[in-house]
Amino acid sequence: MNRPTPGSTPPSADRRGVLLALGIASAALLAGAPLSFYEEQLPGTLSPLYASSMADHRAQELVFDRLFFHSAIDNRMMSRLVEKGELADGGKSYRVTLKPGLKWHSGTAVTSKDVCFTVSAMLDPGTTSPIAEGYRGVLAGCDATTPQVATIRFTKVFHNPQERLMFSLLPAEKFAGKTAIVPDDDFSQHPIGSGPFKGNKGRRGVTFEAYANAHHAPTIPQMSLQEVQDPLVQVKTLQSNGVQGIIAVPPPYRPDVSASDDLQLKSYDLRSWWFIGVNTKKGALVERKVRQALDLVLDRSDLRQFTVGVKPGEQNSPCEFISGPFVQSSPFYNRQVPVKEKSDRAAATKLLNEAGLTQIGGRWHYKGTPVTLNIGMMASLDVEAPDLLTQVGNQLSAAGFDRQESKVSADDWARKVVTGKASEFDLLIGKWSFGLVEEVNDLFQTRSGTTTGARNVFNYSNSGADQLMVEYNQSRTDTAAYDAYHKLHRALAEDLPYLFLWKLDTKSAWRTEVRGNVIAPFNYWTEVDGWKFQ
Amino acid sequence: MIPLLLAYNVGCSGDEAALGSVDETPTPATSVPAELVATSWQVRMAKTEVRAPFEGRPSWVSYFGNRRDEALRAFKSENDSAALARAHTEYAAMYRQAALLAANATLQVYGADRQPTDPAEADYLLGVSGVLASSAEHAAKLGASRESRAGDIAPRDAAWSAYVAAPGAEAADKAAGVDRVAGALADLPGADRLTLELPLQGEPGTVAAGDPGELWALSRWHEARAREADPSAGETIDQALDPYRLPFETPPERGAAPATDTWLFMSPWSSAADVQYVANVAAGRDTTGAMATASLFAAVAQTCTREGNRLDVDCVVDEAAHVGSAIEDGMAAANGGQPDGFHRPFADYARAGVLRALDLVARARGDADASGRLRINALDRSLGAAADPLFYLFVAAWDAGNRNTPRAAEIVHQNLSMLPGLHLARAPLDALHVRLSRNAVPGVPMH
Repeated sequence: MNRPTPGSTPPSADRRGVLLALGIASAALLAGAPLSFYEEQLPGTLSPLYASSMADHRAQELVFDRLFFHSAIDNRMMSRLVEKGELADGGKSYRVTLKPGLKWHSGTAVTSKDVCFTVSAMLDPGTTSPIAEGYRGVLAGCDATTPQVATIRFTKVFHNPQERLMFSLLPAEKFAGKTAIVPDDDFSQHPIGSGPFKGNKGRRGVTFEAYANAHHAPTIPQMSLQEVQDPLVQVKTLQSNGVQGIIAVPPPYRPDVSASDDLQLKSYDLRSWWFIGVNTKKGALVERKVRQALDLVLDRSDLRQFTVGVKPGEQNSPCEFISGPFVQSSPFYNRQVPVKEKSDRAAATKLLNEAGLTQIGGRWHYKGTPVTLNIGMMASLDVEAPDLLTQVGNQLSAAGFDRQESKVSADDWARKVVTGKASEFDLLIGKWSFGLVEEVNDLFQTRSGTTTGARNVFNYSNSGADQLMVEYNQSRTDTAAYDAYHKLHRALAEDLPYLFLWKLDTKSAWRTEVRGNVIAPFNYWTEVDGWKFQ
Repeated sequence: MIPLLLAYNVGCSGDEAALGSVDETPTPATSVPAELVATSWQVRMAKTEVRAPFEGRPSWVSYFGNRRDEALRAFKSENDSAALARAHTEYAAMYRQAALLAANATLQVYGADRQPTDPAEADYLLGVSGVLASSAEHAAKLGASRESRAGDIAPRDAAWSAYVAAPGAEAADKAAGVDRVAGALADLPGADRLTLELPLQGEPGTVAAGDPGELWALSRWHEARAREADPSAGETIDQALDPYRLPFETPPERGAAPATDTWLFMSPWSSAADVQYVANVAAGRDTTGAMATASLFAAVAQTCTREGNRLDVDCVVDEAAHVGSAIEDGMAAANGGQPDGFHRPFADYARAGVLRALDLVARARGDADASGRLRINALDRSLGAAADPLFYLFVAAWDAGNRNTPRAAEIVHQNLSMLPGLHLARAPLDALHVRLSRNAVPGVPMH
């Protein structure tokens, strides 16, 4: 097994014990045990309105149906729920007729009331969901005309109405007609959906039991989602058939997986980029020149080599540097803004001096006090980029900054970081993942409730950047939108609320006994009915 | 082939042995006849003396690393005219897929999703795309831009209108301006082909557009260089291009053409018979029954054909793995029973190749779902050296037609440096992506 970091060591005795135990356990798992897989982290919620992580989002795809979805094979618009769909009201409404015999996991029928309840819940301002917020500019209401027929009203005529109806369906009866749905509702732990599996979230994992329905016939009877933080343990357990899949295999482990006849790497199309968020309201980081200096202190090439295992100059690397909040392949990426691969200590020192910092005994001081950077990292990132937190800390320390390091649990990340309440940190290492839509306004716009800046981690606020994001939102042409985001890219690369790191592609690994396992872009489990485990 | 072996062994070294507990379940024997496995280039070239003409050459080392631009230039430096013909043929195929990608994206963004503010010259782009993609409805848009004052759109429109009036291979070349592509045998033209900045209607600003016809011109230029490099390989070149021809092309009439080891080495097709079989099915001639005793891939197709002439996707996926294992076994046997570091990456070409070939078989049989599933499986199997940029562009062109822009954009981005004219395809793909992205419900970034 290739270990990425120069100082890597063979597995410890403890780890060998775990691996041995997993090998013994694997014999039992061959006899009709559920299909088990490792997620990046445990989902925080199973309520589709409140997904904040990709683990949340993927788990919800197993439990819920979206009204419409794209085929994972050829991207065709499809629906498992809708028998017939037609434009109404001169194109300002869309009438759906549900298929007969659809059931919720509680056994009650799925009806048009559920469709309209879902629309109402998303339109209710008491539903504090950023996902619902996105639909509020699109949906105007819904009328259930018969138990099978619902007419969904839009705010205006859209030429592609089905694209606006890709939300997950919620059961009206579970909420007793109350359309203001809050994040900590019991539903988020014990949901009722109409998807292929009934989900049950426990403290150490999530179990999914197949639920035969008129529109679903999953062949895998049971699935089990687990979390293990050590990628080596993940890969070894997969090799010994202790689990059958890993959602995200770190690049250094991919050669081993692809060299095995029992395993297969599977592409998972997801646009993910990594960053170090900078607390622009705290201490020396208030100074833009200090942020720019930190950007120059970082040696991204070394970070990538020592954590992701990519050697300098490697072609078509799974990990590609970025200079702004988009992946390089995106049209929104401003290719005129260069990436910074190597550190430039001299330029960083000059900027720090200009910002009024002084170096005493090799340590940087701001207003007479040593600068100590409190660095946090989303804990699950340690799987994909082992030791990243330490490596970042080491580089900053070598440049003359004291540092404290800690990992942030998935729960704290969702509860505190995303909501802008982690002000004790100076720097936070994280990643964001996107599907087709790459809007970043939630990340950088001045926060205002759930309306704008809902995921602005350090409550960054810059009127110039805000203006560009408004321009993007209000642009009448694609060209204007494209221009606005190109300018935003440049502005953020100068002001640096984030130190932008890289895009890292995602690959899953599955045992070859798992068949028919087509992975849907972004949503992952869309085709799970066709998966087989023999 | 020392450089190749080194490249592979690095990935397999380390502390694996120290852990020990890897499950080494034996792979089931392939159902494909051993005699066909023995005809594969991998097994034949496992013998040092057969591989000797290729050993240690910078050209093939670059090819193994999928640095096709370096490989092409090195073939020229080494005066290997046959290999140079193959390299130019593959460039011709890649530019054909780039042209199809650009055409498909254009048909979506300025056809299905057209906006009133789009440039008036979108009609011209639709027209050229319609020609290349064989859409008469869109080709009929040609002529509408004959008065355009944007760049040289008007003469381009006139040229392609002339093609529609009197179609033919030469007319298409003339319309695309193949004679304006300049370069010598070791050159890779394309970087100088500029995107068009077309003014929006009723709004300020311009939009960058790429003319799919220019990509067709680059493809035809490389095809001509292939024929120039090896004038004796005309039918081999035609045959190699068949799986990648554009919908508006008529494949030239010919019999089965030869494919020497220069054409097979590090290719997805395991034998000359496979090349012929793949060319046949790509042209819509399902010769599975007739070729099952000669072509490994046809044999797999026959094994996995079910009632109603339907391909069993799971069977094909299994057989692709079995073929790979059988080839590795065959290579080891040819090497005195000793496995070697390069055996697996060489067998990986066939693992992906079986899936790629049978994708085309499924398509020839009208089974789009099986075709798509096999294509995605082939993509997953196209790893390391077997990550053929030509296949990736083939997938990207399909994606563009399916309005699946993120994967296509990534593929284009990864291949820009190798294919200097590919930026022309990126322009319409970017336009489509931005449009689709803005027409979807606002998304929420996930951590």
